[in-house]
Amino acid sequence: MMNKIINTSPNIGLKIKTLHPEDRDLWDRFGQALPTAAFMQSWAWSDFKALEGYQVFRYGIFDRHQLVGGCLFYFYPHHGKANLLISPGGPILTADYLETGMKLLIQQAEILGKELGAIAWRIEPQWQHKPDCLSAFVKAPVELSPSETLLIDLQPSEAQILQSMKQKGRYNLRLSWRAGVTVEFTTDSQAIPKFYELFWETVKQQEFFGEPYGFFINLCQTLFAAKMAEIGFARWQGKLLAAMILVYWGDRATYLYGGRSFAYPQVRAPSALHWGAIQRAKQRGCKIYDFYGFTRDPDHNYAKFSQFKSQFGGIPYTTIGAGDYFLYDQLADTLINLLQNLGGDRR
Amino acid sequence: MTSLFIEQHERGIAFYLNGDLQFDTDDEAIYHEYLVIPALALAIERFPDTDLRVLICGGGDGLAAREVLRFPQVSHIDLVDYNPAVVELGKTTFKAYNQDSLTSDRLTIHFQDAWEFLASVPASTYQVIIGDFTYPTCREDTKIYSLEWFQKVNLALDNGGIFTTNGVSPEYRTAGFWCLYQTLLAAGFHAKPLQINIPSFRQDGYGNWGFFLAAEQVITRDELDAIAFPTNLQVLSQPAWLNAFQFESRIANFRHQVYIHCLDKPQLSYYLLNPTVAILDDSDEANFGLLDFIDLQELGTGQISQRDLLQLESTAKAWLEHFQSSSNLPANAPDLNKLFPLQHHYHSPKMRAEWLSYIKQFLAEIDILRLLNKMLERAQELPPHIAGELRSLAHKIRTGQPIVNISPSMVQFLIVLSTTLLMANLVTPDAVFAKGSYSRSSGSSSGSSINWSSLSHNQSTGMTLFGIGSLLLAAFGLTFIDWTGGKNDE
Repeated sequence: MMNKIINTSPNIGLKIKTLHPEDRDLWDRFGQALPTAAFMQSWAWSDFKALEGYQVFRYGIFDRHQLVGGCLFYFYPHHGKANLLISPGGPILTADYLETGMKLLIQQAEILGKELGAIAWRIEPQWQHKPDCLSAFVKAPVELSPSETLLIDLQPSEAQILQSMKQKGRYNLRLSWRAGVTVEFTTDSQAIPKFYELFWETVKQQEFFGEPYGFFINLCQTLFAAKMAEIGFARWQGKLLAAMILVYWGDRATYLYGGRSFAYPQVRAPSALHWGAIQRAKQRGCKIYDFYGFTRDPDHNYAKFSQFKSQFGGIPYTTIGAGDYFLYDQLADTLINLLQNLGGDRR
Repeated sequence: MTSLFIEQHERGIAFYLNGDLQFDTDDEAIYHEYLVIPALALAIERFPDTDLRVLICGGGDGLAAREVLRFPQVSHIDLVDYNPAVVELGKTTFKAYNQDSLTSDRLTIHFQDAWEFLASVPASTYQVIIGDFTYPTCREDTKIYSLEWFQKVNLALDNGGIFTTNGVSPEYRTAGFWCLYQTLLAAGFHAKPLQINIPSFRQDGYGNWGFFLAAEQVITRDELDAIAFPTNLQVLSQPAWLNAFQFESRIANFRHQVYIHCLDKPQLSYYLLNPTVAILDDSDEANFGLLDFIDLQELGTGQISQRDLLQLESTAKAWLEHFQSSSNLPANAPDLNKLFPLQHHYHSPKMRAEWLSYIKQFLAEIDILRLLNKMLERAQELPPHIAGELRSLAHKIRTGQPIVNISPSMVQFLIVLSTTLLMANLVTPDAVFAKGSYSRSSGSSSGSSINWSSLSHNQSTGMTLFGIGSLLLAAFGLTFIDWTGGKNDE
């Protein structure tokens, strides 16, 4: 537990510092210990994003020598002064340092914005309630990751978790068991193409936007090396019928990506795979299985996915979503430059 | 940082560098033989009784070097690759495929940026230069396809020397391919384009793959007919190769519609990211038939563009021009590639169309009074009439007056603001994929149930802009887009 300090005078003893590679363990341990920490604020995830071309800026907030919060800022370089700083899953701050910590981070965002040419800082802390320290933020029109999700409590026994599932879920699971569907998890990178084949089949079938193969190569290679993720497969009679990428962070296992074959639906391979993932996460000591995205709106485009997920029981969980802090000096600067260069023709 | 991935399959391996396919042992011979063999064979014809010096730019996998080493006439190869990890694989894992080419005593490896290496090379050093670079996925990668690069290459070549380089797909990246062609011509080369089908490339969505064979001295049909290929090639044959110079006219005719790619006004990234510019009119008879580039000796027609189309300023100009033309011509369909060019190779036109539906929400985020105040603090830097209009707008908002009509200066301001907000969101690759309403395969919610508006004192003024944004978009004729954002792919 962090030492509680009474911040009658905001920043006394509190400092923001750039985190260096030697701070990696400290940062990750801190993040994993918080229930609101998100894997997108992990060091390994930021390595993955760096591989994807992002610049990463890592800051820790220290109360004297103790880490009490911080944030990873991501910036995709582009020639021009219309850009965003983004912090998916961040910032992460302990409750006692929300106000003072946030002030320091906003100051840092302003410095970075000026240096890099960003007009806003988009955050997405995994908080359920808006703290006052976000009063200068406005709701972003789009999220960086799902703000509503479905969580399964992994602390009860497997039998109890099964019992908490909807009858339909148990029925589907029993069908998969009866059919002999098996589940396996691996960190062998040779599983990436097999995963992608099923992922892409789903993308085509469901007509949603899917990331390219190279994205998953970079993602898996980075997270596998950090022991943060596994690929799971459901197999039936030698055929791979469903696949997922499961990410482990802190006490949470998150179903990040998935795909399935549309052949042999009667053997309910996706049900078996999720149950296998729940068991796997529990064995690894996780307390929460996160379906990463859920809606209670029956008209939502993802309603049928959510219906499937809800068969496993669980509790819907909503975070505040993404918010934008506009860097008005930068935005004004960009607009003035543009208006100057466009000639400001009188029309 | 570099990501190296070797995918093992039943017949061999496929190698990915930073997620992009470099080669598949199933068919890499097609690529490497077409890239290397004709250039060497032509050089031997042009430089008889000469110890040839060859430069390979890129090619750390050793596969292009394998092909060069077939020719005993080659006395020395310089291979310049900035990535030691790839070269290490070339010496180990790929050794069986490149026939241990990288340990040849005729080859010297330089771990260096090819641009810097070539800058240090004396003029007329090589008889053959081979460009074996990866597909450019970002603006920085296109430097080694620029006019300035090709000029350096030309300078480093001996008189009559041959340059061979991989291109992009003439089929799927038509404008990008011809941009390279025109850039080569502008650099003083006589360039011959050719195309082939490489199954693994096609499977990865690249389409027919293009190459260029170029020299400062004209390459004639007689020369090409006369050259002799080695006898033990895996796939390349002279008749098939000669056919590779033929292009469908509908593709070939597009070569006159592109700008050249130079460092000051780069175009290649724009063409590669926004390939729909290559859509051609099949109803035109001139687009049918084949054009054989072996017999075609032509001068370049490519110009240097006045604009870098991926820049915010160009986008804003395109919006302003469209607005002006919309005022004069009803039902003038907008060119979304120009109005909002895709900025990242992960993105698609379909994503952009959805993203554009958020423009009103982007405008609604802005605390317009605060922004206006910030801008008016620097009013002396603004064109006077715009400063005046901004003052007037600030006054109206402050005093709660309705904003009914938008003056041309105000349109200009709103266009600049809208394009800035859109650009800021679109240049971040994740922002598009993670958009709440269609995020990822595992699904997501379209929005939080948390009411952020209570947090913000900005929303009232933001909503003013929301309304203005609607007027602006209607004026733009962009109403064909589903602005509700409710129509998702999934």
